Amino acid sequence: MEQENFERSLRELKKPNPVPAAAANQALLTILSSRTAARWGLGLIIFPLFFFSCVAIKYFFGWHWGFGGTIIEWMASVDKSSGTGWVTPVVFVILPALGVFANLATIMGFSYDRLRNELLVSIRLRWLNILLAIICLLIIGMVILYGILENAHRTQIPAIGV
Amino acid sequence: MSVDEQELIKQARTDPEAFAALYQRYYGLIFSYVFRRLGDYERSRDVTAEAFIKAYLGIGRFTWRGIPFGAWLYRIASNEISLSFRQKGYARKWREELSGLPIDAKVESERSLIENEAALQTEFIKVQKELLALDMKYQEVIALRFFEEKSISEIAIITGKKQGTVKSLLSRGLEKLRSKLF
Repeated sequence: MEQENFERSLRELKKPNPVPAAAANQALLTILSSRTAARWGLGLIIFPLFFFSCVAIKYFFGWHWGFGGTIIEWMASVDKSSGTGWVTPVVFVILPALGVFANLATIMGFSYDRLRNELLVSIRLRWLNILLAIICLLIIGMVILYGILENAHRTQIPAIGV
Repeated sequence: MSVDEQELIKQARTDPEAFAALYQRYYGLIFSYVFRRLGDYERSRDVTAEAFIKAYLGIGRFTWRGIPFGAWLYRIASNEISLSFRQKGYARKWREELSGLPIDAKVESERSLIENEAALQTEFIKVQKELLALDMKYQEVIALRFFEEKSISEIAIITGKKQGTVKSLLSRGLEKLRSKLF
């Protein structure tokens, strides 16, 4: 068959014209979440992470960093002030808790198997989201531990004077 | 590229809703291209998803240098098709995402519908099968010319090759395809 006829036959070939609406809908949310969840998790913990870094630099390594010290003092004054006492729990507990939730929601999937009457839980191994969830939990843990130790210390002081 | 599309692309760099609008506009087109090249619904779905993930993550780098957005998507899709043949465990992350989702009955019935309809086009399947046996460089230009009905200049933009090169690849590719079919 001549080349021209062959090309014509290819042009006139009846081709499939799929309409993949269901595939499109299924893929969209997953594609959009590929950037969002990691960004959310990171945004919620940037300040707590920075604050704890300043604390570590000043108290554990003994380095006197002017800006870090300013941040620590500022946070202490915000915490002590009557109008802004809510800031510390929000920044160090609620936002990291949201970070845990956002990252776990991204990696966990739930489905119900009617035949076996089982709830199936799957965890996708997206390491960045898992790491961010762990960091958020550590921040909350450190804050709770600090709160417990501070309260224990205050309870003991009156007893010393007795 | 229309002003509306230029605006959408600018917004899509920071706004997922804007990307979703582009996605809705182009998903069918890109899926059809991939499906006509591969002939398999699942693989086409994997490749198309990977192409759009790359487009979403790379949209900040897309600039108007005379390349239409659609051509850029075709280029990404063509690269993904090549990768899908070369890489073991292609689209593994995407498949992990899917495995975490409940089975979607609509997707399952859509797969049957699309593959059954395609199976009726026996002449096309014959051409597709022989095309898949050719080198990737010939597959790409032939599919874009005859399946997607793109002009030589459009194919040159999509592939990043000169028009003369595209014509030459088409000529040699068609000769090889014709010898396989007849």
